[in-house]
Amino acid sequence: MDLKTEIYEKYHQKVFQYIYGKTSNYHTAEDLCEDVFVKVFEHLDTYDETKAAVSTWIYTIAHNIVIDYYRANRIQVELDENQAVDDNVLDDICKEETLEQLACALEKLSEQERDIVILHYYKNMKLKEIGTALDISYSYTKLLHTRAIKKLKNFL
Amino acid sequence: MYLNKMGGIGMSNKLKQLFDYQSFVHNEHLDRLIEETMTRVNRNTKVSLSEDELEFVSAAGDTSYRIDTKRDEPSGL
Repeated sequence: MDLKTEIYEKYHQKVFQYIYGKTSNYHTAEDLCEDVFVKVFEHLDTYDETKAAVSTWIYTIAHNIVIDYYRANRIQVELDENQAVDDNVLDDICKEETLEQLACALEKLSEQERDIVILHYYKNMKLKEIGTALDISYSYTKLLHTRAIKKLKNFL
Repeated sequence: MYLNKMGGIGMSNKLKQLFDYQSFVHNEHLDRLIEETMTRVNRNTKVSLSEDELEFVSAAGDTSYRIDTKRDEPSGL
């Protein structure tokens, strides 16, 4: 099996699921997924394994293709300047060991603090919605969120 | 701004980015914590259904509810 086939076999499903999660459209996800691998194969000779893991590199390409798709289609959902991330910043943050560190840090939070962080940053829920889901007031949700962020700063 | 005044990345943005990356690579440890949170939230949502809502759910699940009502109507009307 050559390198391209190996990469395609290993990451195709992950890339598709990631893009489908962002676009909620099967055909769009298929098209964008194809764009990702065209770009991956075109730039394979420039990939520097000392800078980032293959998974991070492919993720960065997929992430940027989704952002380009949002821009081209003027989709405002979740698209703010924070999402246009420099590749070097992504390379620094997006490492599998950092995810493990995050998981360990989350375990050091109280259950409610952890739920707030996961619902806000992973499920993209607003703090008000989280308060309702957890049956606590909005002001207390905000307080717990601030406290959780402070704690995570020390752990990460 | 993505970068804070110190030239580093803000914690909120770092978390957004890490969780976005998680949706791509699916770290098992983190996946477990997410699942636990969703289980707690779903349990909490179910418990918080009001009496009226529960009655509605029960009636909607009972397919004989409307048929029985019609059977009781006087004939010839």
